[in-house]
Amino acid sequence: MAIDQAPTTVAASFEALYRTSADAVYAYAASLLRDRSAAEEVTAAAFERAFRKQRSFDPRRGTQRAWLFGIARNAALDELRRRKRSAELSVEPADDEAAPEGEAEAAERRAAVRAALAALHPRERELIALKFHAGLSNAEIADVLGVSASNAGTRVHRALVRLREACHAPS
Amino acid sequence: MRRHEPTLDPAVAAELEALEAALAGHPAAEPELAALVRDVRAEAPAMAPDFRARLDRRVERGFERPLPRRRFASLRPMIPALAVAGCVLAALVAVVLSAGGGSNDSASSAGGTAAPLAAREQSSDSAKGSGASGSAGTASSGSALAAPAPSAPARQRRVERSTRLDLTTTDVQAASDGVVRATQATGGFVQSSQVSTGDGRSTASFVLRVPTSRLDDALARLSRLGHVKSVQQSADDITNVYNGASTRLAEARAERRGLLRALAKATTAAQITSLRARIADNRRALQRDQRELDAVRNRANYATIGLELTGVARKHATVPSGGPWTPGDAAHDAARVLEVSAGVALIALAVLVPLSLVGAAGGFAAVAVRRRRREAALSS
Repeated sequence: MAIDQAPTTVAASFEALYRTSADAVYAYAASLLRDRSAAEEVTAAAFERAFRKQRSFDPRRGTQRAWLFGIARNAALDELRRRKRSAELSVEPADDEAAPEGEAEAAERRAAVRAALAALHPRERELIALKFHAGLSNAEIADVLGVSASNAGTRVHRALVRLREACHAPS
Repeated sequence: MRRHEPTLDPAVAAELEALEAALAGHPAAEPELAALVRDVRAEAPAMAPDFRARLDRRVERGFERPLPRRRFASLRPMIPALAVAGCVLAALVAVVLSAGGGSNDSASSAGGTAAPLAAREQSSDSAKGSGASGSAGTASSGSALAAPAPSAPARQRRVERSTRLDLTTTDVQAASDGVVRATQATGGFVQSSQVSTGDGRSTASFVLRVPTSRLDDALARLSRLGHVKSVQQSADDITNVYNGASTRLAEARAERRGLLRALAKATTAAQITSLRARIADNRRALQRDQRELDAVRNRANYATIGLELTGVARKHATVPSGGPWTPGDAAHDAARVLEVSAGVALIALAVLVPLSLVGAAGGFAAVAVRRRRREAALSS
């Protein structure tokens, strides 16, 4: 059931949601799609759909961020289906040419993390994005994925284990 | 309400708590995990500045370009109500059609009300012009309508008409009074009657004679006194009988005239005595033939109605249309309206429930298929 709110309140609420979530939504879409232009399209489409449907948001069914990421997920999966492509890395590589002295170790670690992320299964990469980039709680992730909170926790833990293993794997 | 969820393994829960602490930047977080969080976050894809600027403008303007809206999208919330209305309308049409078919059936069968009988009257009137056939016989209500009537070639054909009418009524006594009044109003008379009322079933039997020319009028009046259970009409061509009696009477009269002429010319006592004896015989023959002719003419001029009245309980009887509209009638009508409404609602439910189940199953299936396809995109 939608909550009746004044238009100005609704607009302000959406504005705040956009300001706090735009980067996370883009990061999530890009992690899922591994395509910058597709991620931009999905991000724009997700916010536009959320804007059009903002009156249908029901706080009793979850947080606003979980609702927004649910929309973004559907848009991303639709895009994935449309393009018939999944895990091609086109994300711009991080600039690790000029690593200052003392940061070489950090740069090396980040390169390992980048490689580990690329090696993850899309489902695990999605969970990492939702947890690390978007900062969603397990309950919110459960709402986004349509599973129980404990199941979401189990999945997040499994993805974390896989990420750690991939980070420590010999390159 | 969510289902009961299994609790997480304590080790898993502990690791997740440690992850939450690292994500929250807690000082006591595991250093290795905190570093992993930092590194992963550092790898988060960032929006290009120009895209960010474009998206900011679109958000500020409230996404001016509207998404292509589906036609009749505004009607979507009304779909269930429209479906219900459509089903009710269809059920109503079905009820009305079935009710119309029922009345047609009753019109062609023995039972019926005053209205079908009135229709028969019109048919009977129109059938009169077709003339009478030579054969005579008894027919049921349907075939009786086409039976020969004595009006058009009245001098040539003589037809005896009789009707058997069975009525049910809630008040036999009042209906019996109405029978007498209706018979007298049409110029007829009650030939015989028998009324039986008591604690049990009340009945009344009448044999009525009404002018043949007013038979239809009399039947219409009588049928308004109760519910017409059955009606049977017959027509018997008695032209030959009438002509025979008429001829015999004419011959007897001719014979009388001849005997009187012979008596006038008779000269002897023996002749006179013989002629007077023959004239006396002729007079008796004349009287007999005249009575016979009168009886045949009476059969043709007066139709016979055999009427049976049967008392029934109130709920089985139809309210006579000729009486005043009483509170009891109103209650009966209200109950009837409720019956029809309940029937319509039942039919609507019978249509709507399966449709709703099929629609709901289809909707759930479509959602499940779409969800599965989306999830499959991640598996590939």
